[in-house]
Amino acid sequence: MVKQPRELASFGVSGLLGPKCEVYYSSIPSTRSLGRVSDLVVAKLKQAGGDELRIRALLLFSIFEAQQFRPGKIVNIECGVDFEDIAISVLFQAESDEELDSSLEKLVQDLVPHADHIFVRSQKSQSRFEVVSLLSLAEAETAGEKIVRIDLDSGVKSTPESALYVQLGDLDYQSLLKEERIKSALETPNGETLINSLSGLDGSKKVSGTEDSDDSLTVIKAGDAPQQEDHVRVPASSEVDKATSVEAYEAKIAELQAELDRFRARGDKTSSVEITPEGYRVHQVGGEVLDQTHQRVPGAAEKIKEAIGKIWPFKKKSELEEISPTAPGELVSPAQLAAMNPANLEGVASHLLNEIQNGQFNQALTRAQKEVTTLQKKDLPSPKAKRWVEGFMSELMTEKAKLVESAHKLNQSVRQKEHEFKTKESALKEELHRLTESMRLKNNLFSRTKDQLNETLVALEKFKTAEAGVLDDAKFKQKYGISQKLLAVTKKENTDLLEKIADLNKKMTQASMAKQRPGASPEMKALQEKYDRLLRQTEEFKKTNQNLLGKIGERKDRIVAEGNAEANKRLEAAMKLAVTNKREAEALRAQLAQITGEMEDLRKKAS
Amino acid sequence: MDFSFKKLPKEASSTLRMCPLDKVKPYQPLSSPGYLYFHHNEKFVSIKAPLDFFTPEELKRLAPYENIFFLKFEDTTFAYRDAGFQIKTLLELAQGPVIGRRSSDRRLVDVALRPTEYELSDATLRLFGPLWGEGLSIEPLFVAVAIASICAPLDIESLQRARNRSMKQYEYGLLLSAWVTFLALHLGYVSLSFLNELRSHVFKAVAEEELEATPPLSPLELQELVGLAMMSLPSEKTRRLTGEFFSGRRERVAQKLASRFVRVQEQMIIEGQKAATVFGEEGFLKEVGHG
Repeated sequence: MVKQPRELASFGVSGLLGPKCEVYYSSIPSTRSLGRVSDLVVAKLKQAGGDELRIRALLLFSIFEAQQFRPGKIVNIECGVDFEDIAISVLFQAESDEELDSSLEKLVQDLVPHADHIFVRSQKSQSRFEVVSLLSLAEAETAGEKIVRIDLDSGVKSTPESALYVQLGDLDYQSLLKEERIKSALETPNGETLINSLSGLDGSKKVSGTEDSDDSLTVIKAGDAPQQEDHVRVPASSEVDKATSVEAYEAKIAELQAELDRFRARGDKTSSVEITPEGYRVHQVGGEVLDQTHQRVPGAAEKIKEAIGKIWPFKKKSELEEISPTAPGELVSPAQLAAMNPANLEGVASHLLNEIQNGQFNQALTRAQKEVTTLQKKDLPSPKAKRWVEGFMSELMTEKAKLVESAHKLNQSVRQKEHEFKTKESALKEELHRLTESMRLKNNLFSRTKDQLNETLVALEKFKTAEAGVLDDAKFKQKYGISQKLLAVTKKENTDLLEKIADLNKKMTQASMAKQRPGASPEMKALQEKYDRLLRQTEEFKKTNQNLLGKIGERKDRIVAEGNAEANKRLEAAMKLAVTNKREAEALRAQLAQITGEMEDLRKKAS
Repeated sequence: MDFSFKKLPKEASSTLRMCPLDKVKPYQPLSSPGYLYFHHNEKFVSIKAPLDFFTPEELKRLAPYENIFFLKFEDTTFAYRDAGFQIKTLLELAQGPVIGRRSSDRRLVDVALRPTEYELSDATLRLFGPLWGEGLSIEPLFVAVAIASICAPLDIESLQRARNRSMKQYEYGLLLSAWVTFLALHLGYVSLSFLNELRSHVFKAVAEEELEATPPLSPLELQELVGLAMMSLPSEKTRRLTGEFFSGRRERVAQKLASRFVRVQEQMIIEGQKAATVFGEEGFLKEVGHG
């Protein structure tokens, strides 16, 4: 570190780095995920060129030992980087005790071997401590004190601004932590490497053998043109089997004889015989040319046609595969469209270009050119044919150039399409995500509404049944009250009756006891005598009563007979008296009514 | 907390949300006004304001009413609750033992490491990010709803003391503690136990007015964070909280938050997306533009 720090009396790494520093921060509650946190920080800081081992050492020592001051409490880390330095800070709280200074010193000494500078900020009044380790990115030796201690009890100044604060969760940690691919020297897929190692590195030489299991050795000559192979048999043994050689010679002679006969038979047809390096050719009268094997030798026109056929890139109609039918208006079937993803299209385009430039098409063209030159020399006597062939070849070359250009354009358009597809895909994915979120929220809302509706319906049902039961309850209550009263009354009656029964039973028992006891008490005897006497008197009174009643009856009869006449007279007198009294009462009533009427009239007049 | 609709006619029942009273948890602050239906009046009458809570005695007394009703606004809080529950699940996952999946014969066949702090921080931001509205703004009530779903319930005695002391200070304590915790999550603090402690600490300090007596927060930058939170949320009547408040400030915490909000703005807020609001037809406050 060469530059002067911007602010030493503030917490954070920003004061020790330049104004354009980037600071990556996080809070660490425990040491459990320390390894993965350091992996991420290292992956990010390595881009600036820091030493991975030193960065890891500083991080692990700082965080682990800071946690020991107050285990389980959060420790804040900041990792800042500018173009000159990397700063790693750990901010923690520690209780002031006897071991604080020694523990802090131990932390500092553990960091010293890995850091270029160490800054220790203490605010003991608030139990806050920060240890910042500085790593210089420049190769030059660092100047200044290795360990700087700053006391912030007098006051903490505000942290200078930095260009960027980034929480570790905002980093693209998936790509940062992705393992780098191991690059191989061949830079080809493993399968291709194996195939190449089997067939030779350049693939130009071929080795073939025969399945002949004879003892004779077979020598095969290899060359660039695989069609030309010479086979020479060498007997394995030096001794010659005379019998087999005679037979072989005789067979050869017979063969040649047959050849001669054939020639004699065709002698009329033969116009001339041409000797060629391969053997001879027989020109027949009709214009046909036969070789020594009596096969027709193709003419110049046929050769040209054959050469063209080799280089013609397009298949004949009969050789074309049937294309699957598509819907009207479609150029490409749905299956083909589904197979056309951007990766395939690009590969196809580049493959096509490669094929045109280096593949069989190019090879066929070069072969055609060679054959045309040989044909021109040997088999094409007429200049017209030569010019025609030259013109045709030049056309082929121009067509090839056009094809190459078209392939380039196709490649470009494929790349463009690929880019467009990717952007569309990302936009659609975003839209889909948003729609699924809204859908999920709506589904939640719907389910809740449904639940509430069900609950409302249940409550409504309950309410209805409650209303219906109210009236029945009143009647039942009334009936119940009445029944209760009746029950009370009945109970009372029952108790009274029970008491009476008890009394009677008592009396009965007393009476039965009195009867059963002959030796009763003197009181009982007196009562019994009294009872007997009263009973006798009652009987006597009854008899006298009956006698008197008889006598009274006789006397009544006499009185009735004598008193009838007097009674009649008295009755008539009483009747007359009653009538006169009645008349007088009616007169008096009439007078009374008259008087009361007069009184009412007088009262009315007076009012 | 203020709200406009103190009474609702019987016809409003079709728009209300019903909840059985026996399912209401005591000491849980409500996110919208609570109504009871009075049969003889044939009206819905509010009995609890937003952010207020029921005590067990109150619930027992109201049991004969059976149900409590909430406005349709309650549906808008579900997104925040869901996000909160998801974050809570992630944070709980990080605190437990190693994840393993056993086959039927009890052999461990699949082992996964717990997520790291930076992965949790990334996931938290992705879950919270879409909750911000266009222009990077959010209303304090929804922050409180989200944090209530993440953190453990506040201490009962503390809640009661605060409410009895001053309803205004109680509401402010609730909103500020939630806002501080929300910002701490954005800063990358993903320890659930720490977040519970932080929320409780701030609530007690503010609602019970013991800010000076409360010990300083650990780590250092959280003191700074609380200060910034109080500046951005000065009272319980603050309408909106914006991320732009933190941009351009010199404090270290503000610079850190500003960079995270840039990511939220660029990657997570959908253009044209409106954040939920307590105002208007969808909310419980009619007019806009006070305090």
